[in-house]
Amino acid sequence: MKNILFLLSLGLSLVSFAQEGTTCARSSKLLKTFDDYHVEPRKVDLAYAQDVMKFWANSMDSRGDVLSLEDVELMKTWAPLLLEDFNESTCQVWEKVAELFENSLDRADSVVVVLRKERINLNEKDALIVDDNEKYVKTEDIVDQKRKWIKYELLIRQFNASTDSTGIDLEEIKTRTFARAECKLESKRKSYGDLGAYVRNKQLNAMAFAMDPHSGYLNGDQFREFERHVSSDQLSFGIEIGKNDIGEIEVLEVVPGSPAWKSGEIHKGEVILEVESSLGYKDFGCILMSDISSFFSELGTEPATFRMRDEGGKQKTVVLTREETEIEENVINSFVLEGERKVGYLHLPSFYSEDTGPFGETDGCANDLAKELIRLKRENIEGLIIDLRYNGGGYMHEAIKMAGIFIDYGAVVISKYKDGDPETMKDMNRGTVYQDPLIVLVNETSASASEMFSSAMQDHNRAVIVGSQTYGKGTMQIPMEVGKAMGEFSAVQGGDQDYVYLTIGQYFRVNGESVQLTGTVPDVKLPSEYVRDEIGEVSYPHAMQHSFVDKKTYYTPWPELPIDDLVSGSGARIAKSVEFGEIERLKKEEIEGNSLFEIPLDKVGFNDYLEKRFVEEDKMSISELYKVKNPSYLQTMRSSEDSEKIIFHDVIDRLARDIYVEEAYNIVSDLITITK
Amino acid sequence: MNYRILTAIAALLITGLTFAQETPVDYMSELSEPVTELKSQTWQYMKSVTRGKGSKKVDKTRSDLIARIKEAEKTIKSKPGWNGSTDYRDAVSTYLGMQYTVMKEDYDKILDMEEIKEQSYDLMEAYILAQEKAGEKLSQAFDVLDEAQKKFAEENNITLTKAEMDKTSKKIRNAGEMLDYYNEVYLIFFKPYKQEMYTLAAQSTNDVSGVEQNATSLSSLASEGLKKLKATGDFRGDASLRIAGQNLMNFYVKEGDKQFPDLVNFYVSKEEYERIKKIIDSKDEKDLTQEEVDTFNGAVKEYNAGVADFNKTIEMMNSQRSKLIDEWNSKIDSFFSTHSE
Repeated sequence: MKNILFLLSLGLSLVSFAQEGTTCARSSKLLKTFDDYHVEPRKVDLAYAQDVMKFWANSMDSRGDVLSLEDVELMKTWAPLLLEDFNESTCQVWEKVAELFENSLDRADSVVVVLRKERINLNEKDALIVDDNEKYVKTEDIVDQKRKWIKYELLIRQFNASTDSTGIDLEEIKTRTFARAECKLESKRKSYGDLGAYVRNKQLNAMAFAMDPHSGYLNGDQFREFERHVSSDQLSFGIEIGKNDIGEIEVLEVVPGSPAWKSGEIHKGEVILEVESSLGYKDFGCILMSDISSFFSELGTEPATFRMRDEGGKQKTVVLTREETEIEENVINSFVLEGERKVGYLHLPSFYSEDTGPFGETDGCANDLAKELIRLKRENIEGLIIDLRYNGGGYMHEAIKMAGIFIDYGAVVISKYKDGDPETMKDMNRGTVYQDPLIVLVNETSASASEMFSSAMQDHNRAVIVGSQTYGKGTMQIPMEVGKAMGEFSAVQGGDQDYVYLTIGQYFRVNGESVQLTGTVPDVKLPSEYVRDEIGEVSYPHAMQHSFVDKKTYYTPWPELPIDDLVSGSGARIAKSVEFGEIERLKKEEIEGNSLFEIPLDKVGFNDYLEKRFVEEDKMSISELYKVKNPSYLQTMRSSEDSEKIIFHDVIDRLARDIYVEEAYNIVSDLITITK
Repeated sequence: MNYRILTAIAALLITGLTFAQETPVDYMSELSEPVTELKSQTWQYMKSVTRGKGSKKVDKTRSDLIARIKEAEKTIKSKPGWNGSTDYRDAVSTYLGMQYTVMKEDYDKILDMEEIKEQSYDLMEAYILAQEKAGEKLSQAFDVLDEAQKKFAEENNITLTKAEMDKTSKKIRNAGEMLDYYNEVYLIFFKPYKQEMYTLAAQSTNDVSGVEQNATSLSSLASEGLKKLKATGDFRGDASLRIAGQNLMNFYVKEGDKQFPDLVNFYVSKEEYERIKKIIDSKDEKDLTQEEVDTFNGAVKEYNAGVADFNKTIEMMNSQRSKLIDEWNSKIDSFFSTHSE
């Protein structure tokens, strides 16, 4: 037995030698890039190596499906060896982790095989215990834990099938559940070409993340995908895809006007089996989502043949070529809340931008927001709500430009890069687009550029900030090619380059304070469903520290806002609100509850558990204070999906039930009354 | 160029002296001698500026004047004090030192240039703002000197009276007044002129946000300009600069209130038309309601009319602007040739 094992590991070593040079070199180059360009690089010491090992395990197995507790503990013991690797440009630990992970994958595969043969009883009393603090289990408990997860998935599919009224075929459900589990494991082996490369990628990932929570490593494909995501126009087939319940790639939407749309041959619910062009081929069975987008971006404008399976089970081929398609998520839509007061509402998904001109002049969200605002002004709105919840940031210059829309002139933010002096960034245009009452709605998910914008509005007394304390990210990142200077990229991309999304600077408010860790504190606080300690910057023990900068800035704040009056008005309403009361109660439960929660795994108990959750979500009713409307020019337009519904019907319905928007409406109404 | 410096030099020369005692007056004369010697050089410089002698000549006379001011400062510094006090002597040399710095445009030495840069949108704006502030500093310095002079006279029983100006002093005074008037009107013109440039720059890149912001500022700066021009009035009965300035201000107000907003409205309508079209294109013809078709047709009509109006508006603005700027420049030329000696 021992001899075989020896041969096996030798075999692996032989394979890994071929890659070893690459891994060691890449790892050293990455460390050098951090040292040269990170605004406050961590010291590469034992603590850093320990963090890398921890994040490496998590990166390879975020669900605890593959690695055991002993595996993870063993990896932790390799931290001193990893530090040696860093100092000596060796990669012994990578070899060990690759071997460990391969063995763990083999074990996970065999567990699925074993459980497939078992008779799983969904009527006996059992429970899945989910521990927020520890997702890995001991080796001896792996089979048992996996069995529980399989039961959980079976119960969910059963529940969905019963509400779907398609009839419950237990065997079918079981087949699909196991196919999904097998597919997940296979995709870990398949992506990145081979396991050694996968493990290396995760190591580099962990090294970047351990530097600070917002630095990340990207390989060539991921980098191109990232570039694609932050602009609003991109080459696309116009197919929005997702994984169905057995891991196949299914068409979710076809974008109107896109190549897929124009072909008339691609429809919702169809499955993509494989795609081929003169530039590449990909089997879409058991594939990672990130592999798909990077594969697509490699295709350029070459025609690609899609082999599809329609909903009837028949196969067909469709040839498509990518074209420039505007991406809907990077578009702002405005609405009018019409009640006793007429208030404009805008939700900004991110601070997106798009390079257009030869002189680098840009078009982006600031310009788009200005256009929406001009439209809303025509509707004679008396106040405005800008909603930055779920806006994780974006381009700094767009946020500055956007601040300029609301202030006349002056300093907006201070930026500081490594080795440089702090610099004031100011409103680039004198004058404003809008001067009337303004509310900015934020919560714990509002980060980075959102915090920069809201704190600038607060410092200038221009807007009332409403909601909950924001994320706390006061750092700036840019994409960089490893081994090159800032802004320098290889002429020919698509080779073996490595990239980082690196923290190269910090920003500060005009009073010199950073929002790092502290975020923007709202003027009027509303109860939040989120526990900030769990999802904000503070949840990362290795996040950068809060700091401040000493720099004189020049700006003229607007007159003081009547914050006290608004706080007491809102407080009185919140105290009487059943919905907000419920949010407070649930949050209290979550904080007081321990990190363990139990999901019953018998059919009756499970159904009860699910019903309780769904009931809670149905509670919100439509606001009686106002009607949510499209701006006039869109009021006659109907949605193409369902011609009965007005355009943006779903968004409008959601808005009308949003208690935070309702309270923001109340606050801006109070503000309008006070300031008139 | 801030001409207040030169008017101030002229002011120094105007003050005449009558005496009750000999020695303090001698002392005062001693201190004013180096300054008096600047007179001729000052006139040379002002002559070259006001008679449009070309930049080379202006530069030469300017450097000569700067050198002479420095010499005068050194000479004054080397003089002894009076009765154990160097207050008056120091006031004169400090003032000459300030003049030197301001003429050399060494603004870093007397102004917070960082504050000025932070308040300005480009280097030219910063320069003009710096000149304005430097002139104010010089005026303040002159007031300090004036106080010191009066104090010295009082302490030493000297009566200061206004003496008859000699010819050169008169010329300097007149040129100074003319240049001051021009400077004031120019500053009023400069702010909205620059603001219009920013608005045009935003419009050239279809920066809707930039156009809208800058246009509102343009309108208010130009309205302010009109008020200031009214307050400044005419120069010795000559209303030409004031009127040319007013015509420009009125044009800027119209641009800011109406014409730029019209352009912005076109951008907005264009986008509305494109959005409606996208929705229409995404549906089968049989699924369209009559209302949708009507809305679309309305949007098409508005868009087409908008395109024609847009181009017409731009053309009109360009030609009007060109005419008014030409007129402004020619009025400046004739103002100088009329009032220069």
